[in-house]
Amino acid sequence: MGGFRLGSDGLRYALYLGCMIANEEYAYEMSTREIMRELGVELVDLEGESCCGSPIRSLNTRLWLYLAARNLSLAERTGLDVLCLCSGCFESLLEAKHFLENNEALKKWVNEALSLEGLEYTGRCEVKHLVQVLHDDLGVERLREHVKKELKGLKLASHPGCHLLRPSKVLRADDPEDPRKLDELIEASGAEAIDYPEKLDCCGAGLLLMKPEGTMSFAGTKLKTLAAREVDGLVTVCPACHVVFDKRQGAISRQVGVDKRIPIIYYPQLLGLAFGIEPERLGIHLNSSPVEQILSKI
Amino acid sequence: MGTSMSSSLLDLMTLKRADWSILKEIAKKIGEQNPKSCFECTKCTSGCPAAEFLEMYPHNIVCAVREGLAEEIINSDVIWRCALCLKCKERCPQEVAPSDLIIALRNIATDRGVGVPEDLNSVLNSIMEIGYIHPPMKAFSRRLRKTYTREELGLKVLKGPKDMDAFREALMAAFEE
Repeated sequence: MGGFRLGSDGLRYALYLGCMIANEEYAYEMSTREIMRELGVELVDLEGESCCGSPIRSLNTRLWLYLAARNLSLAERTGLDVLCLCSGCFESLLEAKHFLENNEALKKWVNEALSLEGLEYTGRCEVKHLVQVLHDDLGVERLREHVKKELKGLKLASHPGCHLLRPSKVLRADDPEDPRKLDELIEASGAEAIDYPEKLDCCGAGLLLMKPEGTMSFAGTKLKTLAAREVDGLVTVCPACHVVFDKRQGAISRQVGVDKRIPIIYYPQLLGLAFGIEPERLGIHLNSSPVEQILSKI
Repeated sequence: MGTSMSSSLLDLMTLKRADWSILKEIAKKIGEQNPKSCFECTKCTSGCPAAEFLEMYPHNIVCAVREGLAEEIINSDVIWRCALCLKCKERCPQEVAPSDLIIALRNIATDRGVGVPEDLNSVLNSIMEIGYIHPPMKAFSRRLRKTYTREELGLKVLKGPKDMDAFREALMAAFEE
């Protein structure tokens, strides 16, 4: 079990998109595909994938578990580890795997339901987040070798987000109270990653479907503290966090009385810029926040 | 579960007696919720970013459930105000998993058809319909004043589950368990 598979052509992963990337946050997928091509990593599409179940876990934990298990069983067919770009999906798939590993009756039950779709879950595939693949599997040094344009002078804040980190006993992606990996990845691009006390603060996306004013308050507080700091942008690794800070920034900032707008950029977009990839191929034009401020500084 | 002490506990709002049978229902939901282990250190509450919207703090919810007073909470919208940031689950020294308890209470409210946010129901319907929480949207470029489909951005068109009938049948089977 575990580890990446080394083929003649290098690293390969089964790419799991999930709802938000498949259906709205296209720039995250575009920029990931671009940097992986540059790095020689092959991404295999997960044919027939669906929602990971996370959004409806609150309604019915069995429906959630079924959806997570079906995507894992699709991935098992490829014989590859799963690469998740969305932290919500990452947490959902890994927690489902955790419960299925420790409960034979649950595994038997899920396989009975899966058989209706001609699927089977064994638990043999590993699930990794983009941050782990870049930081742990490839390594910061390997990323540096591909940097053509050092992003010197840029001061960026990382937003690791909740579901990349917690629950850490299951995810094991980074230190849950003092995460460093995304900062180290940012520094591989030549930019500076600032340390700031609100780094662990939640974006509030989890409240969007039930109490959107809560989202405004969570994200508004974070944007307010960032506006008061000398920071050139916020770096995201989850489409849910990104949508809140990028697409909804105008409305949120107005609500909390912040005039300054902060550029929000997906990590693979940032790395792609350092690799010298054309901004349009990284979907930079799809960001709603003023990312041109970042472009003009590099 | 002790019952001898139960007669003394009363919900002052509803005058209902404590009822521990709900703990069995809670335990059946998939999760690591374990309210009985709480020793009220309030670490969950001190790190909770939603605490300002909550009429009851996370440790209050855990304690009330532990004491058999879950009914009011299930019927209240307090359970729908958690963002599931999972800080409480991460930090609890007793592995009570307050966020999993909230998910279990939401599940019970859903089973009973009380207080489920409309948008969450729409998401469920969409998953049943197409496998995703919503259909593909056009991406909008504020700068170029243009919209794009996946194809126009050079991305593959996605088909979702191959056999939608089998997918729905399996979901229904999972739901009815």
